[in-house]
Amino acid sequence: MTPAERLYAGLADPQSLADLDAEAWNGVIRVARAEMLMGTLGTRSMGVEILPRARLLLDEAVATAQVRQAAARYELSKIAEAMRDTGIPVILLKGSAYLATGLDAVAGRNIGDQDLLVPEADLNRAETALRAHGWQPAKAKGTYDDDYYRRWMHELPPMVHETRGAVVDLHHNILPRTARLTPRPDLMFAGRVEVEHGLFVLSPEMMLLHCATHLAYDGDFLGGPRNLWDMDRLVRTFTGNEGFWDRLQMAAAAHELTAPLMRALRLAAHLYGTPSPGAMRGRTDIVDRLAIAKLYGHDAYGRQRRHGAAFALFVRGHWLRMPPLMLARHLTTKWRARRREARAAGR
Amino acid sequence: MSEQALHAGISAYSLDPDIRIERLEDLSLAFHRQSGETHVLAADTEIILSTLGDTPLSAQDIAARLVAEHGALESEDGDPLTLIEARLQELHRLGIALRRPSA
Amino acid sequence: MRLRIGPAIFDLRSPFRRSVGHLAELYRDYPQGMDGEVYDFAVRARPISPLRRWVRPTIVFDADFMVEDIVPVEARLGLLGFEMAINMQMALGYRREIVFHAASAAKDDRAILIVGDSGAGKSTLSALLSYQAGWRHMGDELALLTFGPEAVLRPYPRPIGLKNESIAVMRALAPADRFGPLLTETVKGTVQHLLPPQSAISTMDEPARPALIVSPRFRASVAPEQRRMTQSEAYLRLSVASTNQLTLGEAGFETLVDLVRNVPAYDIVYGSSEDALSLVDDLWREAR
Repeated sequence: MTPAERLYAGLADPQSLADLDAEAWNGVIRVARAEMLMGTLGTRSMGVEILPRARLLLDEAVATAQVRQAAARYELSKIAEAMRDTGIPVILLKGSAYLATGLDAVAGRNIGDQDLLVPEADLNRAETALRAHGWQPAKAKGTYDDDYYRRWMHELPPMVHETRGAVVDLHHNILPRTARLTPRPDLMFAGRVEVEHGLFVLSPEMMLLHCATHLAYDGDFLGGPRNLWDMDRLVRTFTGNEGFWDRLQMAAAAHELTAPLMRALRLAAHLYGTPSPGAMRGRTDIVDRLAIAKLYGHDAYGRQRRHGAAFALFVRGHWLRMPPLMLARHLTTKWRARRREARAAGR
Repeated sequence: MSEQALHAGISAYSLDPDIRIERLEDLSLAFHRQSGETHVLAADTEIILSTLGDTPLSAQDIAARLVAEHGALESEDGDPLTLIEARLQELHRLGIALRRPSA
Repeated sequence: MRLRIGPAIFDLRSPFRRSVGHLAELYRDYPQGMDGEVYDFAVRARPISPLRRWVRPTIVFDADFMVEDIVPVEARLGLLGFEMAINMQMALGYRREIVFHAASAAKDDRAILIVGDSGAGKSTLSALLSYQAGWRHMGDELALLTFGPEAVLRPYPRPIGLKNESIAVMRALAPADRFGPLLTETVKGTVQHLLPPQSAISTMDEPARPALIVSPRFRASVAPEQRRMTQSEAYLRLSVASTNQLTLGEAGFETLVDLVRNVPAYDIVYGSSEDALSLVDDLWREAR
């Protein structure tokens, strides 16, 4: 088995981790760190007897995730406060939504940026409300980047809180305007579910669809194992709901997201044995095979992604000038911004 | 909150229960358990903060408490009440104080 | 190769024979092998492109934490890249203790913590303390503080990164076989690593209680000076110097507050190594 196979098997069936020796763990830890699944593996493996040093490293990742989740919860309350008097319905997306709903997908997960969906007509008002509460656009208004986001993207440029450094991404749809598929935000708002602080999340089927869409549009299946794990957790949470699969199928058709949904279900079944009705998965195609090669294609160091020399130079320059604390904080922000730009450019 | 404050539509403030304050020999630190942020408090802010608790108080309530404790309030930067209100707003902006919105 | 530095085990690999040779030489006194152990961090060097392994070779590094493709260096400076990548793993990825960008050294069971920005003279002071003033070297770049009211510093005694003028100073004080290769024209100027005394490495599992904090600043030909920091100054200084305190939550806050309440902190300014050592000596005499 390759380290990636062991990781996916370990997430699906934590007992399988009990058999791993130190060298197997060394491979699994590299892939788990590269794919941001270390904290998740840490929570999944609790109660399983594994090597003590592996336990130590997993517990560190879990503790980090817990601190980040607490901070993310705080951000949610502050966002709610900023939006309270506007009357704008705010739907939390992805990690923020799993956190606010207490879904299984959140266990051990590092939550950074807050992703919010608001009606397009309210976008400017929402931005104004956030600005009044300290979130400022990371890109100066009128610059090329700012213009690019506003014209072509399904979100505004990231907004960064002036004192806390927390990042909010304000979306008006779940796919860029440039995408061929056109999900319908009106239906998303119609089906929204209220959670804490007067904030909302997507309906279960829409939440799953959004997750599936991400996988297909994140380019190069970057972050695929993490995303598919979310799929797996969501499916297992919702599959018991009466009529869930029918509603999912109808929602997929209404939003023209049937193809990405089927692919995501196929890949999740491949990695984690995620259950779904056969008709919802469809047939394997060439893209699946490429994706699978990618999803299992880590070397012994968990290496998969390649970043350009520009990033390399950026970090080098900063390591020399900045105290490491600042570096850590600054880098995570920059790093996230960079990933987003890569996504926006379709790379 | 005092009746007076309620009717006048004045904001009232309480200490965020997630805040932990540690007094050092010179200044005080406020640590927010949930957000993980640490704030260093200026001396006058700390005095105001020391009056805050679970019960929401307006700037006027706080001024009254400070007068009771320290005698007459004096400020070189103008009206003490304005100063207190400004500090409270700052504490709220930093997430140290909770604000009950005006009626 | 796999080696342990203080509490952390690293797996280091390089296709460049020169880097491997340098690493083997520099880390010869450290525990090695450890096959069949789960290690903490992997750092691997690789050529920036397969062809460039031979044509103007440049090395990039892959590692667990945030250093994919960072610190590309000329192949002859591979050792420097490894040192930076190793530091970054601890700075960003380690959280069993609070990590400070600081040097530390011990006498018996008590330690001094030396906090300062890059270039403030931490490494030089740390080298002088161990090779001239008889202190036990605990680390010149990162210091590890355990949690709790009785927090102790755990040694993380990596080779000391000497720069420019301090190289000649230390050459006169330390045996020649403790020095790594001379690395010229790096981004930091000339760099040479000084292996800590063997005794510092063999005692790297013995912690020491922090008793004094200093923040040194070197200024050519000024009179030595010291100034006690207030507790909140010390808190801020240490908080900024920590690479992971923010991710440690309330336990990290509490430990740091206890530290600044119990341990005196000073700014010191010196114009010569003699002045630096005598300042530290004076302050140490009052420390408890």
